[in-house]
Amino acid sequence: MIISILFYVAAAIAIIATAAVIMAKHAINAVLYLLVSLFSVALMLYTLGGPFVALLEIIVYAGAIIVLFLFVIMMLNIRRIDQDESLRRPSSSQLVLPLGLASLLLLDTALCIYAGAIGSIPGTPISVADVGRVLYRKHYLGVELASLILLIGLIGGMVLGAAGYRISAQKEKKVNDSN
Amino acid sequence: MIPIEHALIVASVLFCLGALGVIVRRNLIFVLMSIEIMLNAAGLAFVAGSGLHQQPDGQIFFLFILPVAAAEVAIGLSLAVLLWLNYGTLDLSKIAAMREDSFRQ
Repeated sequence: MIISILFYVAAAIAIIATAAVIMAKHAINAVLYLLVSLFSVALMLYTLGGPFVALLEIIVYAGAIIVLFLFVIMMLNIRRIDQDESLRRPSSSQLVLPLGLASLLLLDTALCIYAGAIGSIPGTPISVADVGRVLYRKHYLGVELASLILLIGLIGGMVLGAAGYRISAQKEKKVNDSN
Repeated sequence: MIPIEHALIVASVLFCLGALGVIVRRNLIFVLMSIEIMLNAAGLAFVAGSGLHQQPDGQIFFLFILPVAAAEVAIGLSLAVLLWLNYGTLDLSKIAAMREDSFRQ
């Protein structure tokens, strides 16, 4: 009982905080709302029976990704990032097909939910030992692929960072020459 | 006991909010955050399925979404820094054509 109350409270907070992220005026506010949203999603993951993934959500998303966002926003010019936006207004003829398809999908989802209960989540936690056993017995190839993705991310970040360093060095040289 | 439909509705609402963010915001930082929200919503749906069947496989798929999100945000943010250094803007509508002569100040 208490578990399902926790789930609904966390769901409400997550939806409000996520709406605040996409409507936020300042980038720094959006990052902080995103942090709230990630914490409430972590609570939802816990109530759905995944204590291990809930912890990983906090460590990786809130600990690493949010810090990366904050770091980049601090590094660039905050005031100018906030002003830096021209809102796009799609024309009505562009909206017809996507809106039609989306409303069809919405109707489909409503019918599925109306058709009857599929089942309930008991919320009993699945232990870390079970997750690890299945991960390394059945999905070991996926672990290798995940490490490959991280390696690609590492190399990509390094190459792009080196390019940025070159550009800023050139700019500095130009400023020095003009002086 | 949480009905699976409720978990899936929350996940789809979060995903739609993320998609809406990608469509309406033109600032690269906000677009990257919206993509994170969408990946997160997909992971939530996976974990809900895992809880329904009481099998750990759904949680393992969440573990595979995590490195994808991490690598995506690392490369995306370094691209944002490069755009800032090259063009002095993060407004995607000004650099949409990826061509120098179409760049409007």
